[in-house]
Amino acid sequence: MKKTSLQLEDLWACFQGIVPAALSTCASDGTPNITFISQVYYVDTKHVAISFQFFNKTHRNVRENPFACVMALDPRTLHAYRFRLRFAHSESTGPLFESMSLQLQAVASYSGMTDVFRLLAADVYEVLDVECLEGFTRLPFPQPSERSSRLFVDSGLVSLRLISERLNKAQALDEVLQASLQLLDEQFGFHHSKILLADERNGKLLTIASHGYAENGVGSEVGVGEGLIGMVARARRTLYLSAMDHGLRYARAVRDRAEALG
Amino acid sequence: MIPDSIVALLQTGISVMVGTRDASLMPECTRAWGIHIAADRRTVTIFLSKAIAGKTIENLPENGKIAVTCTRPTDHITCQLKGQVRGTRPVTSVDRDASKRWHREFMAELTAIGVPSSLGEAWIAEPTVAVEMTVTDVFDQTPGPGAGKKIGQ
Repeated sequence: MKKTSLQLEDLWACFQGIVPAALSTCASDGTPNITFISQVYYVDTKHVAISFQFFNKTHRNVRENPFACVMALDPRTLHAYRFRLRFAHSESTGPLFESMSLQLQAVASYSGMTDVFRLLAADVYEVLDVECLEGFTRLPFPQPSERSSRLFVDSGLVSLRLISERLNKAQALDEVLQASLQLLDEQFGFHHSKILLADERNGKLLTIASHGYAENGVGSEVGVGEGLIGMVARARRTLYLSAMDHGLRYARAVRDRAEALG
Repeated sequence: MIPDSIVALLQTGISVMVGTRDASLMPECTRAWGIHIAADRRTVTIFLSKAIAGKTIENLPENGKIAVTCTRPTDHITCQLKGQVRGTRPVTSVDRDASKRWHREFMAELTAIGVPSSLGEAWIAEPTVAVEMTVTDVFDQTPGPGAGKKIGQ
């Protein structure tokens, strides 16, 4: 056996639920327990999740003694990997829970088992160590260039999915506006944002939603061509500005110089 | 005594996984290359290879606590045996034959669920250590709400 510095992402094939994995835990009285689990879910580079559907020994054990050990197989070649885990926390709301729940429900709906196959929680484990078991198979490792389309969905698409889901839930215009700005903050890091409606007849822009500013500014107006907002509106182009303070200092220096020279 | 239904299950091409723990209660798991049930129906022998089960083999003399879960791939019928290790020894030719029989049955199960036979046949299922355990508890682990129920005596 060889300890390796394997990255969880490299083992994406083990997280597809194609071959069941085994999970061992240990009660506080020292009795080991081992169970098959249908899928180990990839959460992020340091965490995996396991579905909690029924109250069972695993569920009780990790709350007494948080350590666990998983053996999983790569379905392409049946290479084996051992993961040493520590139970971190349980999630019963949020994107991870919802996506695991939907996956279970989708399978359950085919077998008329939607009531039985209900996800109670996503149990999240920290991955302490990953070991590739040498001496398990004679087959060579699969080519590392292969990439899963599901585990490695572009993060922009993940954001797009979340945004679509949230906007679809909005019942009124105000909710659409607020959710849009909130999502720009959460998903893209735009902590300050506004939506302005163009009043073309009067050459003005009217603020109808605002997020992150001390004063919400809804109802305030700016003329088309006035200031940054007005100029962007007139140009009908997006504008990305960095080093604003440097730019402003430079502009002020030019202005002061021009004034001094008359 | 292990109930009849479980005896029957253990004689088919089941996937055999083994759970142990060390002195600090750190769990370990590994795959066994077959299982054999003795005529007394209380003793089972599992076959391990040092190459992949080093830590498990270290844990056994330390505390002897063991859990073995067996599942049949084609119908998910699963049981868990818990008990105490009686001893470990190098495998004999009889053990190797038992392991080979199990491997053939297991490969047939895997083929039946669509796993290409070339994958399972490439496994280095060559046990080096036989572990004899006394089974104290048997649990039904077939997936579903009844999983975890103790069965038999």
